[in-house]
Amino acid sequence: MNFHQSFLMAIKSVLNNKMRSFLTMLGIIIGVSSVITLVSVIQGMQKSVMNQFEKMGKNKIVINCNESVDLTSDLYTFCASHSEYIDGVSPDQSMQYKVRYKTKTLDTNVFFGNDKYAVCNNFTLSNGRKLSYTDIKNRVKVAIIGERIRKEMFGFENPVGKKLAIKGQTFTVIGVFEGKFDGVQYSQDDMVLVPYTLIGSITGFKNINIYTVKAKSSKATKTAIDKLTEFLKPKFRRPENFGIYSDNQWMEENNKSMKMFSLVVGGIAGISLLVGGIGIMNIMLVSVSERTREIGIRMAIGAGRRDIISQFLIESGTISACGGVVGIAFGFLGSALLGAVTLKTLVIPSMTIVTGAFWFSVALGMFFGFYPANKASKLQPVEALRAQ
Amino acid sequence: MDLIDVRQISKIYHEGTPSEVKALDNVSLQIKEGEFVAILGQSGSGKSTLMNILGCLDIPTYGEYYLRGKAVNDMRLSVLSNIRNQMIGFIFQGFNLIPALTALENVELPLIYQGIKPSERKKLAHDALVSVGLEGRMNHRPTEMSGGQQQRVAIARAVSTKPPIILADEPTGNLDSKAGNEIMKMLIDLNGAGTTILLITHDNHLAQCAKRILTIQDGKIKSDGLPEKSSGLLEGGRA
Repeated sequence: MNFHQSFLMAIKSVLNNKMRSFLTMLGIIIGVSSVITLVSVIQGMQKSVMNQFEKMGKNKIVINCNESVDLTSDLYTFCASHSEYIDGVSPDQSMQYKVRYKTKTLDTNVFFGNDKYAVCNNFTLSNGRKLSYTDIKNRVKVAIIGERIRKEMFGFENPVGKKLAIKGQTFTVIGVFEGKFDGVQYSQDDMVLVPYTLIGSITGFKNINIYTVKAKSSKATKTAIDKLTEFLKPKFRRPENFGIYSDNQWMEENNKSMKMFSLVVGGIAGISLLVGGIGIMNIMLVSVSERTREIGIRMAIGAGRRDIISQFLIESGTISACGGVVGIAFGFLGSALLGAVTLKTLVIPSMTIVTGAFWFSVALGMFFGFYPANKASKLQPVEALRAQ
Repeated sequence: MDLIDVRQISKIYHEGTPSEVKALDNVSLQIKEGEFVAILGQSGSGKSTLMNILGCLDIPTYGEYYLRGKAVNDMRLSVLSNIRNQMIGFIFQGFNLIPALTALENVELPLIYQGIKPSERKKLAHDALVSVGLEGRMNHRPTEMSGGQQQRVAIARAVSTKPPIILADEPTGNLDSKAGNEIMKMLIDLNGAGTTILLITHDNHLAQCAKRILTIQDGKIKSDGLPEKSSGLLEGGRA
């Protein structure tokens, strides 16, 4: 008996017993939809964390110095000579000050950086220009403001060219960074960037303790950390006097944890799939016993064991595939709803999880359908024909 | 060579237990191609057991069965399935049609198991149904047909693969006399066309349609001979 014929028979059997087929499929529907929904939402969560991370600056290496060493010039030279895996370096010192524009005053972080600060921290300008080498070299009192400052201090006014007062000194706004976090307080949008060469005149400290290095890629980040460690070691009295870390490491760990979490949650949801599979076996056993006479008739007119097995296997596979398709539809719906509620975004299940869940449900149906199918095929034709 | 050669077969159920039943006892029988044999016996005489063995649906406990010279006892299950499919057409008292399938689909079934491609098997099934006068009922399910029509579908299914043997087990048992006569005429016509017919019946009148009557009693063949008198059906069917 060919596949096409068995498939049509299976569809007929499903349609002839609609309620029973639906109840059989229910386990698979719940299983597939919950696996898809939960895994998709976790994947959406992971994606959202990744997006946040990328906004903050991907492949960013932070150097922290606990010893008074002037690294700026050496570090600049080192990074310039390793341009195959480093995009740039910038001082990244910050202090909290009151910033005033006309009558408005705000507490914010004042960062001391150079012309590579924007590159290193993944900032783009929405207006004006970036810090130039001349600004740095000539200690020009210019500032670039973050989205929070622009929004709260300037409103609809164009900030470029306006004067800001920081610790009694006047700075001209030359640019505005595009908002990354909707201009929220305490976020990366809550900042003012000034040339690092002005650190002494503002803070009274001369040395820079924090630097940010931008690596070219995730792979280059690892190499850059190794090379930088090697380069910095001899400059400090003790190795623990400096620290180098990258969010990439944290991100990798986070990705691993998320994957593990997704597997565990998917596995728990998969248990309902297993229960659905057992439901299919149960119904197929009932079906075999109800259709014993039919099996006998088929055997009498020439069906072999293989024909009977394939017929019942295709039938159980078809039932679970139908359940899988309905489950996928509910999975899409569930992902969209749960994503909207928890992540405030539209979560669409990936093709991998959808096709995986579908084929897994078909395989499950066939696996649990095998025992009843095999049982049917072992019936003696003469005995089966006697059944009522 | 005999088409069917049965040598001293016995069928014993629950052998060696207190509930042992000897359904067939040392039966020997030879049937040639083209014969019309009626196996006549009362209920419980062993005639259905004999039919099951001759139809390769069951195997004897003892004895040998040769079909066209080949030992059936030694055949694997898959070979027996092929024999049932290609050499034997069954007609049962209870019609044994699959209720979920239409008449055409029921007739197609043995052809599907033969692996015949869809267009060809549809044609063969169609022709078989036309030959039993059911051209207008092809897409009807068994429940939408009368008993006589269902039995005609069963005949169409049995002849669709053009088997050399037709085994008919009380084919008119569930039919009124008019429909029963029609079925018997069809069997007679099939025999006229060269098909070997084995008719299992308890009805002496029906058995008279055959060319040879075997009487079975208590699992043994009591007599083997020609019909006693000419049947009205025979006269009508065999011009």
